[in-house]
Amino acid sequence: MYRKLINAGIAALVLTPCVTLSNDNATSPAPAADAATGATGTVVFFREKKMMGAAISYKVRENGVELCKLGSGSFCTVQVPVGKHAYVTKTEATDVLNMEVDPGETYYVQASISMGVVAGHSNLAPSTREVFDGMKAKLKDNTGKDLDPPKDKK
Amino acid sequence: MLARPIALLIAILPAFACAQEATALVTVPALTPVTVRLEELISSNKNRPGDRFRITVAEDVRVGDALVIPAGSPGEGEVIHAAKSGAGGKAGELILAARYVRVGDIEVRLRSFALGVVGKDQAAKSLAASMIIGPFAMFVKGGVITVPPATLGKAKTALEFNLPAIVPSTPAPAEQSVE
Repeated sequence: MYRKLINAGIAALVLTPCVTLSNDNATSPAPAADAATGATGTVVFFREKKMMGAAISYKVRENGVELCKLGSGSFCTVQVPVGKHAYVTKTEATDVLNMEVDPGETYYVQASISMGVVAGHSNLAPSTREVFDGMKAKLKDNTGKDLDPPKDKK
Repeated sequence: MLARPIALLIAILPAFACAQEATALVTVPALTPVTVRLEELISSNKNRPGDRFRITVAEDVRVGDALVIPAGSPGEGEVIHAAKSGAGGKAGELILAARYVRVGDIEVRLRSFALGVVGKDQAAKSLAASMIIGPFAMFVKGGVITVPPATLGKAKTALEFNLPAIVPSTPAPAEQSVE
């Protein structure tokens, strides 16, 4: 009887490391590398210098917070937390650009204005570094300028 | 009398099975490039943010000599942004992200998706003129933006993963006829 129990115990001991190893295989991700690469990304908003709509400036907002004021021929560089974002501009019509920011990456967003009845329709569209670099020399850096502080919600 | 052999058998058999499963784990560093292929058509006029689409790994991913993510491994992407083309020449907009690929039971998270950077197949080549490439995949063009199936893109592993090295199954040697 005791011998049976001893043998069963040996069997259990042999099996235990196997089960543990299987569990190790199942847990995939090692500690996050996000922290190592930085918890923010960069978004560059820019608007080409053009005659059409030159008199109209508008702001890029997220959740009511002003991030950038874009006149004709200007740009802003904004550091944002990683994750999903929804950037909003509003003139005659409202435009929303959804983005997802990965750590350490830089994203380019081109603002423009198209014909409207009164003030034109603002638009935000994904763009590239090449497009931005091509016109950067003619753009004014408006980062952090002409922005209203966030309003306190009561 | 039979208790000891049975107990030993119970002990040894799982150990054998376990030894076969216990392949060496290979550390796949974060930001390892992964080439993926879209398996579905994505359109700025039909898809909406949050839509999921199928992707597969287009090329084997190796760490040193070890194969860790075989070509054909399935995965999933997500539409981050889709805007219809509109009146007044408003362009359609599309931003896509690769979410993960699955290797066995393990979901390997992906990030930094850029579509169309590979350009090996004709579908990708035909799109080259209309693509804008960035750290995320995006297509901006006046009118509807359509990304066809089999378009290739590049993503990176989001985290460091420990994956088992996959031993490719060697085909059985062909029988030689001796005449």
